[in-house]
Amino acid sequence: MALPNQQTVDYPSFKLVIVGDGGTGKTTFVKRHLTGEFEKKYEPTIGVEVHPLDFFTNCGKIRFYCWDTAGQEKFGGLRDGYYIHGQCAIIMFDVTARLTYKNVPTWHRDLCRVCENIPIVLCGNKVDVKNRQVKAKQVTFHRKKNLQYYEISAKSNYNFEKPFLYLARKLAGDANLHFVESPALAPPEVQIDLAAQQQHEAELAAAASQPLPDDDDDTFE
Amino acid sequence: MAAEKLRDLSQPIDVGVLDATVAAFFVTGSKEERAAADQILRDLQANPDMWLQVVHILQNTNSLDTKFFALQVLEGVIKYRWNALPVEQRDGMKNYISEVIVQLSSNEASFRSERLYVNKLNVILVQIVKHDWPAKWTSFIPDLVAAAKTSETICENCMAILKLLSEEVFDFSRGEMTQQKIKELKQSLNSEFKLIHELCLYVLSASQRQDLIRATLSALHAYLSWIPLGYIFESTLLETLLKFFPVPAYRNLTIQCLTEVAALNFGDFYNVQYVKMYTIFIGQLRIILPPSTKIPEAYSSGSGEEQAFIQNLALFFTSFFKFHIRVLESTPEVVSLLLAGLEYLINISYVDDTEVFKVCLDYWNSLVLELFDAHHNSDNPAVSASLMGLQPFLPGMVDGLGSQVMQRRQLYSHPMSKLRGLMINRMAKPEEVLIVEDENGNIVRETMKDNDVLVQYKIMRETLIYLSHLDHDDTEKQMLRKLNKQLSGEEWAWNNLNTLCWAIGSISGSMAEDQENRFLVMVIRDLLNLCEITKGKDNKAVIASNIMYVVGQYPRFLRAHWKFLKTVVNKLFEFMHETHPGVQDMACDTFLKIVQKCKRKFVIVQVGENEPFVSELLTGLATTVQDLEPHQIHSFYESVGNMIQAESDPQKRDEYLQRLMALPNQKWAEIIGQARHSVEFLKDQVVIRTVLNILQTNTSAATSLGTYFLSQISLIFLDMLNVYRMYSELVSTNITEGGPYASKTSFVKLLRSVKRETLKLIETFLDKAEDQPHIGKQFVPPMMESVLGDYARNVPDARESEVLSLFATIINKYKATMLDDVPHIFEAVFQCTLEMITKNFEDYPEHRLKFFSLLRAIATFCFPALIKLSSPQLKLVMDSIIWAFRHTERNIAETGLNLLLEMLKNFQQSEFCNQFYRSYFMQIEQEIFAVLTDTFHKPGFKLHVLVLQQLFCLPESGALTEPLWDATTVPYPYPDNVAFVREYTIKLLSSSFPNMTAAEVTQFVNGLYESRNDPSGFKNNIRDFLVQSKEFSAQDNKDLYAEEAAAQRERERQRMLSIPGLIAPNEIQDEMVDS
Repeated sequence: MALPNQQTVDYPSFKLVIVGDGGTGKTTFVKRHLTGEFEKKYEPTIGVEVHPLDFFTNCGKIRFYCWDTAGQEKFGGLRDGYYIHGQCAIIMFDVTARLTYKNVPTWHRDLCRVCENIPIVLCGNKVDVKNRQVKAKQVTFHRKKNLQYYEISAKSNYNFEKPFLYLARKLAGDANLHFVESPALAPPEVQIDLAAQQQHEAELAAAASQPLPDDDDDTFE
Repeated sequence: MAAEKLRDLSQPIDVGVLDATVAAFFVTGSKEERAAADQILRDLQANPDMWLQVVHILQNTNSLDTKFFALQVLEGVIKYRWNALPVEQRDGMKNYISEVIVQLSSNEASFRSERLYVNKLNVILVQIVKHDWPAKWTSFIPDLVAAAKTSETICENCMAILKLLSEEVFDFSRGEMTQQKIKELKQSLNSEFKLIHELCLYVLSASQRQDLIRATLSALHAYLSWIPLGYIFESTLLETLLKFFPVPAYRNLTIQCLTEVAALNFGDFYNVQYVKMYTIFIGQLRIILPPSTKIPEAYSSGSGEEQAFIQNLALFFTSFFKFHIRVLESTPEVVSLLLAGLEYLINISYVDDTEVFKVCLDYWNSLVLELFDAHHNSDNPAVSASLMGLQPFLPGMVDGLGSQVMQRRQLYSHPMSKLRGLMINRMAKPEEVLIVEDENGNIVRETMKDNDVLVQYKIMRETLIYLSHLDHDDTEKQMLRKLNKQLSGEEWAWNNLNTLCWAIGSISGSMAEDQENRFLVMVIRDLLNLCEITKGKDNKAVIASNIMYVVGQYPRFLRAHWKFLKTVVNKLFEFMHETHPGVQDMACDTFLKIVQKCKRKFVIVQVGENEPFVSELLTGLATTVQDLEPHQIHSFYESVGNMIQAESDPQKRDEYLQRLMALPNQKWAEIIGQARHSVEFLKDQVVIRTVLNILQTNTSAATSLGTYFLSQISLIFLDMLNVYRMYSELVSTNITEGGPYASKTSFVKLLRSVKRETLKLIETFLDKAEDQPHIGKQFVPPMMESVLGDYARNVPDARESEVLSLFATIINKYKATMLDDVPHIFEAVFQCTLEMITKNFEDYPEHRLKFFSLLRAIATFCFPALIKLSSPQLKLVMDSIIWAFRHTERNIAETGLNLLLEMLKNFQQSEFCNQFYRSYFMQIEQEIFAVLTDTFHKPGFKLHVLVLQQLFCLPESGALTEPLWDATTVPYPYPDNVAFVREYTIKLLSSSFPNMTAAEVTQFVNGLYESRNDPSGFKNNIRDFLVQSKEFSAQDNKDLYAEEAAAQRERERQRMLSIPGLIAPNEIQDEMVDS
């Protein structure tokens, strides 16, 4: 299933398409995995953004090229054009907004018309929020379609690796595959190293007192 | 870049360059190249002339991806501009697409290799069909069926098209087409299904080709849920499906079809067919999946297809049983098949997959409830009848009903017993605690309130309770047997023990008290035994946790046995010194849980004791909590707060509270005392941390004490506000001097933590305190300066959004008593917050939401305060509301719309109705239409409709006594407001949607008027309008409607003509005018 030329790494890589209504947290979810930060601001994605995301498994490294697609109709860009060659997918909805769940069948339909028989995970995001609108009992769409379902919270990191693990297992054809070491994000249980934090702050303070470069600075990338 | 020249569409596009661009995007490009290619492709797609190149591209490219892209461009045109195209162009396109489809699908090799392309062509064709069929393409279905008969691959593709058509018309039509159009398509498909039905049956009987048969089954699957029942039950369809069921390649598709049939439920007419279907099904299943199969093992080692089959099997059984289980209870032969099916389902329920399990569980829950209900209801008349000595008079009725119920219970008793085993074996986790880092870098424990794992526990608990009621002894026996297997080591494992104890805990209260007591004593005895014989600290910790869990689940027992309760609590105190991981948390959590249920027991003097337990506890407080972490101490304080709250004597209560708070208060006094000498003292990080901890301790106690916390909060309130203000100013200075990085330093984060905790403490207290107006009156004034004034003075980055939510809470709680304070609140937060949030739609997301929530609280409970605003001030409020619902962020937009609705209603009832609506009616209507027709705001649809309805109902409500229009600037005198609103709306929409004709707009506005008192009709009108407003002048459609309308008028005329005298003589165009 590997694509010509996309294999820029010497370990297995897969195109993962992420779809779902605008504001359900697709970009935040991907960013959380990439950098560990949790973005509170809502800035709609335009078209698509592609990010490589590596995971370490007991069978070696694997890479997901995450195609984080726009959920807003107006910014949809090539829409189902982005799904071509997709090898696995995540459909995201927001448990605090009923309409986003109602639209799941449409996203699923569009995906399946382009990618036949790929593993798909349905994710209900924002389960940390107090009064959810889509109750767990109401989420049944995935059953008839044989999709996996996870409730997640990008904010609390709840179940945040589960969708990737499921897809990795399906793609590898190995039900016992597991992740051995977390990428980018430090698990929340870890105590913050105060000394390191202070040093970091000292560096920041030093940096802050420097005159800022004129154009966009990439210093902190 | 060569690709740039693609943008010139005045001549045929360079397909080679396009191919390269598409390839760069999908496959070969680097990150930057891909982004550039994406941009060009999106621009091309948006170019209105691009579609004219589509055929040229399709004919000259070999790239599937390019073809797909070209078809996407075409799709947009068909969706929105089809009816505006000249008929030749439409026909040309239609024929071209059809020809390519036929050509590609007539050849096996090209059909397979260009699969993606053909799929997209099919989608395009169906989009055209949605416009042209049935009116302009009457023979579509016959054409398709005829084509299908020419070759097996074409036939396979026709099946795919038929499936798409059903999906588009029945599953995905809402909001895509007008109601009228949807109805028309449904009718057409319904009336032409006969041909499709014949085709399917013909294929299934005649073809040997796997792909074709699969495509046919898949198409049938789409149709089964809506076609007339006769096609299913009065033809050979079911038989045919069942024949295909055993074949591995068709198994999943057939069972999905059968599941659709099983889920149909239209009375008893086809009962015989259902029994027959089930009988054959089980017969075949026994061959495919012998009853002796260990399904869970088969599942875990199975392929994806096989796993899907097991899940589909679960779906079939649960659908069938849900709707038709009664027909299987009729004869002994059928009953044995029913039991076999239940046995399969129970085995499937052991599959290690949550989703498969949930399918089964939902059904088990409903079955058990049904059996229990019947049992329960039949018990009652019997019991009450015998109690009243009436039994001899009603033997037939009671016995008849009773014995029927007994028979049914008997029938299911064996599966129910197995089901108990299942629930005990798989009981879900009752609570979920997460450890997360909050934005200030503090590690906090977060309890999940409402997620799927908890819901699963709830359903399982409910199920097990019903099961337990159906047979208490069996439940008890099975639980104790499992417990014995823990003791014997046969099933000993942490997870098994946890699951079992969750199950034991879950049925609390379902047994009679004496049975429960006996049962619990046995359970605890066994668990204590287990703890004794098991070695290893880890193991013992797990067992101890489980003992505490079980005990905590049985408060009735605890309340009835003080000695035992006391022993348990003291044991928990011991655990609070045990630093083995998890033990202290468990002890504190259990303590809180027990105290909440048994609080009164701790404040009364128990037999043989000298003082209430709480007093004893307070004496040893310092020692008890000395090894606990801060968050555990907070939980402990909440627990003790619960005890104190249960004391009814105010004096004792205050005394306990003082003793409880003695330690933190002493620390607090020390810090404040030091600070009086030197303010610098407060800037020490250790001191700040201590302050934070003290405040958190107070919040915890306030949570459980409510109003009774008054004396404590009064004690520290003013000092706390001073500390708040000082820290706040410190944050402001740091940010002003330190620039953007300063707010990320741990010092500033820590200071903010204190600020937020202060606000949280006040909010908690005011929210939990009983509704006593004087409390609000007492606490709000001192905050005006230190909290509100401070907020206004801070630099934006130092402002806490919690200030806004605190005042929203206060207004929601103390309502109109806050009326006089509203102007101050306004003055402090309005202008400065608006400045933060009106520069864009993104910055300060929390301030946005909380600001509008505060505004909403004010509008709801202190509306008179808004009336008193000057008109520039009111305008600012209205503008900010409009700003709110322009947000794409759902919550903010929704808050804004709800607020607007409330404002509209409140003003309508006020004496300022005329003035308000004259100023804002038109602006609001225009703004609402702007968001309504903007796809960014789709989630707000419902509320947009409500606002419009409110506006359309207003003119006739009688609330308005003056014209809405400004007579000085509008020269044309409208007869009334109704006419004005109508005219205004027509003008507004006509200028905003030039693609719609004047007639369409007028028809829509008239429709709105007519349906204004019918919420669903009103909403449907708007839904249709949204479809129309996106499409370009539906020229022909309009003709179509016009034709229909003319025909309708003519029919009406004929009807009236047939009744002598109904039409006035001067209206009849008589042929013989003058004879």
